[in-house]
Amino acid sequence: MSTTVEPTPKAPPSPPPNRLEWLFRDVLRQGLVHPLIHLVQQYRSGEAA
Amino acid sequence: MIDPQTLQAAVRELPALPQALSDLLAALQREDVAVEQLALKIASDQALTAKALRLANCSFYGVAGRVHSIRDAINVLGLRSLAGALTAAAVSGSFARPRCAGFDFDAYWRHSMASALCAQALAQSLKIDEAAAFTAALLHDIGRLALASHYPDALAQALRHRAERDCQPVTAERHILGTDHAQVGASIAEHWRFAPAIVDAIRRHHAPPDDGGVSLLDVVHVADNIAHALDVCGLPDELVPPLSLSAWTRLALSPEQYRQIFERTEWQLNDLCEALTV
Repeated sequence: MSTTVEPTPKAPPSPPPNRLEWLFRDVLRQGLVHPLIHLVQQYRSGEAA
Repeated sequence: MIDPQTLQAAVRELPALPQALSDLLAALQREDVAVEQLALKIASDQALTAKALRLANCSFYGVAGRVHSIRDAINVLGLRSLAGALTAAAVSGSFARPRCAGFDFDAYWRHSMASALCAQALAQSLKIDEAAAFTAALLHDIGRLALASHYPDALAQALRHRAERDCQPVTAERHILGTDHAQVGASIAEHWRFAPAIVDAIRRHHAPPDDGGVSLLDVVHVADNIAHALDVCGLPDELVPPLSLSAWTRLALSPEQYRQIFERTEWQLNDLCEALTV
C-alpha cells in the first residue's frame, strides 16, 4: 500500500492562456523548483524569434 | 485495488519477447558474440526483421536507405543500436491497442518515443550507454500500457480520479490500484529479462535517489520530464511531473546542451513514430 498523501478532490482548473504555466501547474502549485520551465521557455522564445 | 498475486500472474502470462531479441540482449551481456549466428537468428523472424529494418532506415539513425539486411544493420548501427530498434519493434507488437476509457494509445507511444530519443541524446552528452538509455526510456511507461490492456476498468477509474483531482497519474494509480505503472513496468521488464539497470530505471523513474553517481535512472527520469515539458502529445490535461534536483544536478549539462537536445528530440520524433507506425 502506498503512503502517498491523497490530494483533496477539486474541480479541474481551466487552462490559462500560457500553455507552459499550464503544463507546470502541479509543480508551481507545490512551489517546487523545476529548471525546465525556464529552459523550455527560452527554447520556445528562440523558435519564435 | 489490484491483487498483487493476480498482477504477478498476469505478468507471467505475457508473451515472451521474440527469441531472436532475447538472444541479442543476452549476447550484449557477453564479450564473445557470434555475430553471424546472431544475424541469422534475427533474420529468421521475418516480421521483426521487417519492422527493425524500416526503423533502421529512418533518418533518426542517419543511414536512410543503406540498411537492407540484419547484417547491414549490425555493420551500420552496431549491435547495441540494433537491439534498441528490435526492442521498439517487438514491444510495439506485444500489446494490442487497449480499450480503456481515458487511455490515449497514440499519446502513450508518442511520449515513449520522445522520452527514448531524449534519453539517447542525454546519454550521448554524458558518454554513457546510448542504446540502454533508448531502451529504458522507451519502456519506462510500459506498465501503463499493460494496465490499460489487462485492467482497463481499474485504470479507467484511476484516470478519472486523476482528471477530477488534477493530480499526478502515479498518485491516482497508487490510490485506486494499490500499485503504479512504474512497479508494474519493472515486473514486466524483469519477466522479459532486461538488464538490471534498465529494470531499476523503469521502477524508480519517478523517484531517483538523492545520492550516488549519474545513472541510467537519472537519464530516464530527466528524459521523461523533458518529453512532458516539450508537450509532444499536446494533451489538454498534460502535466509535467516533479523533477529530482539531485538527478538534474548529477547530469550537469549546460543550457545550450539542453537546447540542442530539445531540438533533436522534436526533429526526430515524427520520423521515428512513422517508422514504427504504432
